[in-house]
Amino acid sequence: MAEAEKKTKPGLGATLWSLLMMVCLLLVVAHLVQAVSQDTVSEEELIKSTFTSVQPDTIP
Amino acid sequence: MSAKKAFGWRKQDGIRLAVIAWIVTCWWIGADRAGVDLQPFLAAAWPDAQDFEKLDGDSYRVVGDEETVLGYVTTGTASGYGGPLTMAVSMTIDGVVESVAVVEHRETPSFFRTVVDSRFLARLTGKTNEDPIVLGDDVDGLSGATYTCLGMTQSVHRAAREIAGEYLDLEVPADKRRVVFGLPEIVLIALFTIAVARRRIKGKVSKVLRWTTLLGGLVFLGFLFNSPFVLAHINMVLIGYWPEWQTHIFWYILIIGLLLFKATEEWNVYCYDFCPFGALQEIAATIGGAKPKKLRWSKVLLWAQRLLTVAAISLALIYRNPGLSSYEIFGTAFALEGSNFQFALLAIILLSSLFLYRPWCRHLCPLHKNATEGLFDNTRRIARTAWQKLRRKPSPA
Repeated sequence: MAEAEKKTKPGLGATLWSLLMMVCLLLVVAHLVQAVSQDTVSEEELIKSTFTSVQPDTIP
Repeated sequence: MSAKKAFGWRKQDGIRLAVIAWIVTCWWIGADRAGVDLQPFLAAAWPDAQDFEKLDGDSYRVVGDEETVLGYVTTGTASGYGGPLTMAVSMTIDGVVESVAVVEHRETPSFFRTVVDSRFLARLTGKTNEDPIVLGDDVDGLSGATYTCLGMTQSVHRAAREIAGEYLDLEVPADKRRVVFGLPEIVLIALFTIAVARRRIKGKVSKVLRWTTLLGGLVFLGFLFNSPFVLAHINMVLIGYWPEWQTHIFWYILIIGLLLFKATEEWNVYCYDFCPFGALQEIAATIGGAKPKKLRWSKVLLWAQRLLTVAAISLALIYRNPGLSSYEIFGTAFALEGSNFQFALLAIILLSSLFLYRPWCRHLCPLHKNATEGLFDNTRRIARTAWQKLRRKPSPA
């Protein structure tokens, strides 16, 4: 019984794959934090960074 | 009758209900976000102006020395990739679009940055009231960012027409409502059709057809059109952004098709049959001989995937930006666009796919059965059980 249980228990490989997937989850969290911080640029900054004119000298 | 019996209540349904309540709360928080302030644009576009007279809506008359009218400013809004995109446009009195700027958008940050850095907006300035200002006509788009370019062009088109027609009394060309129906839409309909036909066939032919749709999805929806199904699509529906059907037929076929099959046949036609990133992982699995493996701490991974999905949807609703939290790495794989984190993630997932069967789908994808699809399935189950019980309820004598 104990032997059978031991066989169904995930081994070292499964542990390492799980850790790798957790690293992936952390990368997703880091990406979300970055995306939100980029989105919080003010309206003024957005307008300044996208302002395009036929007269290049008027670009702020 | 207890609620447990009436709704076919299960142990985890309390959590599901709490998640739905939380999503509704986030929707309300996001609904309060402020409107547009055009002052920075006015100051940048007309530095020598003496006054900006407010007209209807977001429109201004620009006044210079001795009360001379220098031009007009207004905003135009159209659908981009992730939702409405608003542009401010200034036009001189002889009908020339002198300057433009984005004042509000819901695009995925990395894609938006690419379009801005490529100086696409310069293609929209210098246009006159006589120009159509239509993408694919007198404005060239950027491959891989078609919808963002389309949103920007249409916004400028609308604003320019408003100023020229309403304030300057200039002639504008007749507005042709162009219906965008081309190869992407035809391919999508073909993929749906083959996937449906495959489901009714068994054996080797079914396998061949599945690989046909998978490869078709990979080549067309992935590499050629870069239009996979993403969380942003669900976020758009939740927020209530319905783009113009004339320019977004692809979006409607995808959303309505998926919901229709999911609701009627209880089958996710997309993930298994033509998801381009699923195809990429399956090809890697075939090369490496990957099999589904039971991982350690599988429950922790499962709940982390769910939590991440709820967090991503919440952010989109609060910020009223469907594309903001769409963290999938599809664009990274097919258009080489994304943050450094997404590139690192893509490398890990592609290498892992050689040994693990579909690691992205099973452990990270917000659209998977473990996450959004599961929530949809269970909500539908509860609603259906309750409806059936109500219908069967005998009328009181």
